[in-house]
Amino acid sequence: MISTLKAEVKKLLTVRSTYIIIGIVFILVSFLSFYIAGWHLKRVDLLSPTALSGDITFVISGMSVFVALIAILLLTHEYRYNTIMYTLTLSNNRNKVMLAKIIVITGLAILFTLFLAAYTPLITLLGIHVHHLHLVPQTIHYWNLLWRCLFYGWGYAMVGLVIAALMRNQVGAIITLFVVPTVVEGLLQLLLNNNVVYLPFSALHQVIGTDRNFNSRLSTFHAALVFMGYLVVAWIVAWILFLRRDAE
Amino acid sequence: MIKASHLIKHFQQTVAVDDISFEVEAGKVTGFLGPNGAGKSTTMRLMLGLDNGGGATKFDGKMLHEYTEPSAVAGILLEAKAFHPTRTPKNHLKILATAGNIPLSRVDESLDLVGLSSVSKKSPGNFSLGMSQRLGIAAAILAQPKNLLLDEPANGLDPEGIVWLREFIKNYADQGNTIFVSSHLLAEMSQLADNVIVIGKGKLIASTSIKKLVSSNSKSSVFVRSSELNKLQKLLEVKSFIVKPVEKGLEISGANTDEIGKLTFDAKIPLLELANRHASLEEVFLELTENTEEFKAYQKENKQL
Repeated sequence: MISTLKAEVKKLLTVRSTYIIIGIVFILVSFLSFYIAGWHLKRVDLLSPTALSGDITFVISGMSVFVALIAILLLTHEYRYNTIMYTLTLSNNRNKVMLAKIIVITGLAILFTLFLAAYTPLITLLGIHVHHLHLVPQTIHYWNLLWRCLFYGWGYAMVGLVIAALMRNQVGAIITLFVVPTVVEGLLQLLLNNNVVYLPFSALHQVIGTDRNFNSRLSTFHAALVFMGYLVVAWIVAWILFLRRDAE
Repeated sequence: MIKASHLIKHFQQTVAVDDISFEVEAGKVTGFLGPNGAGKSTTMRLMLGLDNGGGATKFDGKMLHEYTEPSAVAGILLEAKAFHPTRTPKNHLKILATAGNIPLSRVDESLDLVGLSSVSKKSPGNFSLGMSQRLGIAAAILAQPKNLLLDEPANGLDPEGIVWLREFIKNYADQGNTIFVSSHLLAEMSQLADNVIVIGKGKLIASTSIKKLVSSNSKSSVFVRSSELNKLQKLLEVKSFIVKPVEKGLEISGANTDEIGKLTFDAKIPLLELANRHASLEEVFLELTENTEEFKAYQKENKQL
């Protein structure tokens, strides 16, 4: 299992796309935090004691899709370039392979989210300071903010990986990742009205608090449970298919 | 040694592999032949557990997944371009070595052996088919496995590469390892393989040594040249041999040199040449797989297209 894990880490670190995606995230976060959330911060926000918390959740909710993208590439590259035949014949158990991918993506999502949670407020404060503005003392509920951010980052990454495991087609998986939370859930909102809070991405957004002001909201804990329900079912299906389908 | 038993694979209504069983001997090179669409690649994938189907394949007595380190048991080359185009050959092999618990020193050794050391840190996206094959071979031999399964390894290799591959495979087999190699290059296979397994439309057609296959084929004949050809032809026809005049001599089907030699000696017909003529592997292959070709070029008799 350790060797499979190490190999998955190497796969992640030896493709250009991983660095390109992380580079894009770094540039976007630097710009958004320094210029939009810092330099250009409105007077009303300067007086808000939760401005930094809001900034962190905003950035993490926007950037977690990139970890999901890396997760999709980690798995779909194997099928696209047929390296899956090596992966599966070098291991004596397909379960180990999938578990290793989940662990590696979980680790990446945690590191990525922790980095963003630390980097974002620092760059925002730098932007505010350079523009000679003054932010009121901030109230940050560290543990609450941390678990919500980590859950969101991890959740999005797992969604990416499970979509990849279900579809195996790279382009299809990427399109699904971007279309389902925006277009599909957006359209379903017209049909479901207040029940839209029970949809997977809506539930995930409620965990971090960046949902679209639904009339009725679930509690953070219940929203996390709803999301986990979808994730577990999707993973059961994906895992069975991974074990049973031809590796091509 | 590899023992495949009752391999079966269906693709919806189509039977791709139909209850095939065979053995691949250790210390020998076994060729795997069949027309396009015969099920060769599917059979190899079934053997490795990459495709789900019926049957079982044992490598030295155990299924591949029953080994703690499958990398030491089976090395594979199923597709030449099975690598990420921006990941360097060295990193590609390092990943395989890590996953298979293979010493990392083997990475450079394998690249050296296949002649890719000079491009080990370049992106392989633009590699030619031959270079890709070499990288695939490097991956297959990385762990120095006891069994090698190679699907069309000579495809795209230059003549020097083919000679190198032939020598390498023969030496590898001489060390007691098992080599199972599919190829469409029948002339190459006749030089390389000791045994051969032929399939067509997913069914096993033959599993024997190349010598036996070729010598037992109906196209085996005796060629004879004589200064009294007409007399000889009449004699042979009287004795119920199937005789066909060919350039400068006669071809006698289903006979052997001993009986023809004795016959002509008794009849006092001088012989200038007497030789066994075995069909080539290509002729045997075409005869064996005559009605099993999935994809056959359309031929119009005596008409210009």
